[in-house]
Amino acid sequence: MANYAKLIDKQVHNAFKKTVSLQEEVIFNLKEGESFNFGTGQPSFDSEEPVRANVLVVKTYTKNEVVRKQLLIERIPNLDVYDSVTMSTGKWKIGEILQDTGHNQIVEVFRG
Amino acid sequence: MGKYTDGLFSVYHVFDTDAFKAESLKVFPSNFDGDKGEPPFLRFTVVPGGPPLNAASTSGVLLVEIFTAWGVGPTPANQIADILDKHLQRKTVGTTQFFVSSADKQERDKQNEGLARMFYSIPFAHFGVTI
Repeated sequence: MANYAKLIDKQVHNAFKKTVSLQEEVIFNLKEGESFNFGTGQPSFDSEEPVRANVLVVKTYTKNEVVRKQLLIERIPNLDVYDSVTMSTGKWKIGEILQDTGHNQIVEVFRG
Repeated sequence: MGKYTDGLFSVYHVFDTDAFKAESLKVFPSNFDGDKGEPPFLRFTVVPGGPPLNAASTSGVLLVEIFTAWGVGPTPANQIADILDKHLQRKTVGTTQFFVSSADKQERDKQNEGLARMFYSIPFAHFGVTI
């Protein structure tokens, strides 16, 4: 079972490499360990880390007056609303994880 | 700060005291989307919708949603409501006074069926100073 997982991981990685000309290099700004600070009245985080990644933009669309993109990425664990992604078009907030195979994800990002 | 923010921070202050922290209850404000972990946990909303005494004052209701695991019966939620009463009912925090609480029936949470939710509410008045 573990061998199949390794094989799938490798093939997903290979598939990403083959679409490299269509990909965009982006930076995910990952904030971990979120809690609410009652003293300041603001969310606070244990750590903040930039992670460089390649994404494939599956589509861009507008829904409820909000511009959204669907990004295909190699899996990044623990993505949530407090994280963001900096692309050539600016900074986008992380929305829903639309699909998660355990190896890759389709992540919705949005502005607005 | 203004009367709405001051009233809100009075509630924050209650949940930030050593006495309340000693209860080991996880409390989050509405519109905070962080990881809440295993139940029980509480989510609160301050609704400053009551009649003000003057331009610097507000009144309204503090709503607390008590989330417990679904299937464990009503006892844990009611015990938590009693803990909230101990820290809020007929208490004055700064210039905010809390009155007498009430609670609604417990039901299965619609967004997360692994949770049961009970509403606890307590009216409050925040007294500001006018010059």
